[in-house]
Amino acid sequence: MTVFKTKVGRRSFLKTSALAGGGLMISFSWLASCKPGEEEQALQMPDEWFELNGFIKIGENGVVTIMSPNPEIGQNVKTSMPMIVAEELDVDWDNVVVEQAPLNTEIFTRQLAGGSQSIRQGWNNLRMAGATGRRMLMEAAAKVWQVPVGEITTKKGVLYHSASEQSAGYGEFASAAVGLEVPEEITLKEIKDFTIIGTDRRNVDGPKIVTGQPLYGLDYKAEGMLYAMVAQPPAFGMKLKSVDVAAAKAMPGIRDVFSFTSYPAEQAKQ
Amino acid sequence: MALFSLKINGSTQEVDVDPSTPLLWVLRDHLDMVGTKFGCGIAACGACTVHLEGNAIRSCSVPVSMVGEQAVTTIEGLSEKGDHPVQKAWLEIDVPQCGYCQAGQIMNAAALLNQNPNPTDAQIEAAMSGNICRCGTYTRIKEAIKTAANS
Repeated sequence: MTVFKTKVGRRSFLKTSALAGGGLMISFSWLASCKPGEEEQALQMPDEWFELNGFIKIGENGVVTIMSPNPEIGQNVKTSMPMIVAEELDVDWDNVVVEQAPLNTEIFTRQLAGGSQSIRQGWNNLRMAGATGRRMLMEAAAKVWQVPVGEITTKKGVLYHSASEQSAGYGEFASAAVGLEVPEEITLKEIKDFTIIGTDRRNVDGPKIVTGQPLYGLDYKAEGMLYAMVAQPPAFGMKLKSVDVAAAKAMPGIRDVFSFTSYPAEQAKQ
Repeated sequence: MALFSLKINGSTQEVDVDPSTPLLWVLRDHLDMVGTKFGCGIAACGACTVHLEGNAIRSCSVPVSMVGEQAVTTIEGLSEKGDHPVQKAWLEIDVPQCGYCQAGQIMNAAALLNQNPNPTDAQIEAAMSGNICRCGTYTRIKEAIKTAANS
């Protein structure tokens, strides 16, 4: 076993835990689980969510929400990044719901897509997030069971203490784990013990995609929102001579038509 | 503006729009059915594919005035529970990556299988050649169409 200091992201974990201590989220919806197969199963959503850190929420019934930090642009990081968290948290992938994280680089660090770097750069942070959550659940169980935390083991979202023959699902200790100090050190899994990383898992958004449910920027409308369109010159280096906006402005629904220079520095030179 | 009564996914919808409005924008902007995607706007990418009387058409380039009495089917109405053979095959083969083009791919594939329940590789390639996928899911699309054909 390899022990790691949790200094990477520890500050942000602390922050989120403090935030989450007071506020738990009440859920009212049904979401499709990550369970593959023809019969897409709906997971029973919990009554309460307990946020262990920015990446992980666990319901009282053991359902786990994992935040996917980076933009999904077809590289399937919305599936693969949560898989890494789930691996170290040691939960059943069938019991995981993935949610797109909001922009918060303090918690999620590098939230961009590019250069095939999402997994490489996210790897440590994602493993830490999962392992930290697992450790906090173990500590919560150790307190209640009054046993050394080192004797507690986990498997697929269940905590075990074999000597006293006790076991409990993560959901039972999620509430207690939220109030705990973020551990100074955590243990990461050995690569040979991986059961999720390195396995083939289907796109978590597959069922939404094949039924045309809204997932993309163009699908959302906000109150008072307007659409803007840029008419580009047909070739680089061309300059606008003149533009008659009267006809365009006369069309129904057109609020304004105007020209602009996209490179202020260029404009300044002239 | 003109009133149009459209048969969409089994129900009748009234819209008051300019007759030249492409069916795509009637669906997306006027009826809030955003499953059908805008890609190129010139019938060159296939993202906006819907069915008109069971045939695949590019809705970005069909004015609403041309629809008339013909039944429109969109990705939202391909099946009630998302269990059309093509949708099931798409999940089984895990076709979608970003998913943006997939509504169009699925609608085009469903229309192909309506007309030709057992297409050859060449027929699949010919029928699907107008549907572009930036993620490059083409090999899985072909596999899923074969899976759907055999189901």
